[in-house]
Amino acid sequence: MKIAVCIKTMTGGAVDQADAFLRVGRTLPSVLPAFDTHAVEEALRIREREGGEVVLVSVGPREGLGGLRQALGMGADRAILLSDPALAGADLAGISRILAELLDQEVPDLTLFSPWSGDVDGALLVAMTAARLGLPSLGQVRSLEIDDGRAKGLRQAEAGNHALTCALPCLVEVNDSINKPRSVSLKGRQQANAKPIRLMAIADLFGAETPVLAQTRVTGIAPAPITRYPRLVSDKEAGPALVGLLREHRIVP
Amino acid sequence: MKVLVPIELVDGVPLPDSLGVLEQVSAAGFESWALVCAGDAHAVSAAVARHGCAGVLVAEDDVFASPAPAPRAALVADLVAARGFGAVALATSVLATELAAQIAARCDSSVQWALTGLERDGDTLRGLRATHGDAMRATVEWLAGPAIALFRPHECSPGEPQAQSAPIEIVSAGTLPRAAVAIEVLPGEDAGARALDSAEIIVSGGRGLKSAQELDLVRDLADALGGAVGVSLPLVDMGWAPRAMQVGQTGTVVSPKLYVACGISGQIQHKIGIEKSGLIVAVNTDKDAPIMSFCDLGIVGDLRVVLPALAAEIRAARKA
Repeated sequence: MKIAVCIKTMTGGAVDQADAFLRVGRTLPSVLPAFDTHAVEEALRIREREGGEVVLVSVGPREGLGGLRQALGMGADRAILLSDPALAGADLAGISRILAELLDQEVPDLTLFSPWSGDVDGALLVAMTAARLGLPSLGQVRSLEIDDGRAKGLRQAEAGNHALTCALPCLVEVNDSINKPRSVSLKGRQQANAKPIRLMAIADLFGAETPVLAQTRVTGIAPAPITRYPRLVSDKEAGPALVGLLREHRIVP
Repeated sequence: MKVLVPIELVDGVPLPDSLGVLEQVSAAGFESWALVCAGDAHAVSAAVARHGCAGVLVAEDDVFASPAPAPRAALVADLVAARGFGAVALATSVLATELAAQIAARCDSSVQWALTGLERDGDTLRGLRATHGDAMRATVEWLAGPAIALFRPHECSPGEPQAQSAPIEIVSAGTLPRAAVAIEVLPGEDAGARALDSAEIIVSGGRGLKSAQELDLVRDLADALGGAVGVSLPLVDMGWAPRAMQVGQTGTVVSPKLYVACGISGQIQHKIGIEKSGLIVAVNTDKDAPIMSFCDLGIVGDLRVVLPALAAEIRAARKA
């Protein structure tokens, strides 16, 4: 079975303790986002059962190589990183066009996504990419079974849980409760350096016909309005303060 | 500008968030149209029509007995093209997120999410989006239509139904694609998320608890207040509570009238999960914990001392 895992690129950040101003370094190598480690782990477990290969697919800056090496160190077989200056203003729809084209060329039986990196899109990207490919997708699942050419997943929804099933090939977004990812061994790290990483640009994929990369844009950014004015009290004043507040809001009589 | 708002139904009842978005879109000066897709939509469309919209479009088809987004996305795309909707607005839910993405793919347009509002400036549509863990608001624009706008969970709550009812129009669903994904809604078991989603009072425990037994302190205060019990992510990771009890961005986003956070520092994922609550009360030994800057009442103290005292005080107040 060929399993693709879509990986987000994330620059590592760390506070420099030696620096009197405790500045955050931003020129560090990239790291594999924590959520993505669960998708990689799930792919490796499926490969261990079914055989096949695990291909990492990523769209983002070259600095993302560090995160991909980490995933290769966990045990993935090879990686593709598409980087292009034109991606700077790309939105969700643009990224999903590129991912769809990459996956269309790779033709995996199963493609795994993970949700969230910071406050980014959640389950939008997997569903949009699947729709472009004309394939089914299972979003936000916390368990995944591959059996008899079908994918089965469970997820928590607002009203009760959903049991989802669809035929392979399909795209599946797994959340962080699905497994406990393995750590990267020293041997894995050494082997990762020898594994192939294919670097691509948009022209390698689309030729001269660059796809539409942005249909939305951010035109401004400002601090959010302040909505709460905290009142801090000690444990001695806590009881009367809470009861007073709840009475004021008619939560207790 | 005409805006289409697909109404999500749970057990045949409109989700309050969907009705809230419908009203918010009207209040922002747009011509808002509700879309109800159901096997039998008669009663529910009459209820939706009383929530301040220009009209309700109703599509009845057996395919809508399943909550699967694919046939709904096909219908929305058809309606957008045939009737000139400039935007489609939805309230975030597990299903609505997939629906929004599929509509965008079918209409060849794009989605903006985590929206707290929509504004119009002449013919330009602008969205306000919560970013940087709610610390900032980004203004976003769509460069090509139709604009697909996904509001934050629990961003808009509906008002009381109005006496006046908007016109209801039956639309032909045509031939819709069958969903390639079968969705079975599992009844009963693991109702924790649902209980949190609709609870008016929630008391949650976090890493300040020293053992799973100390969750009893949280349960007791919840019991005194008549509320539900939640937990933060670390407690789920440690196996002290099931996933369904998790409050936060990656668990359940809640909006009770009262949220009491006990021993929860207030990491950004937790903040995003509770910020639409009415009152937020925090109990923490650390007066500089992040949660102390986004609560209404911060109690600086040990929860082992504070929680039993609060429970007793609340019970006394209830009796009085």
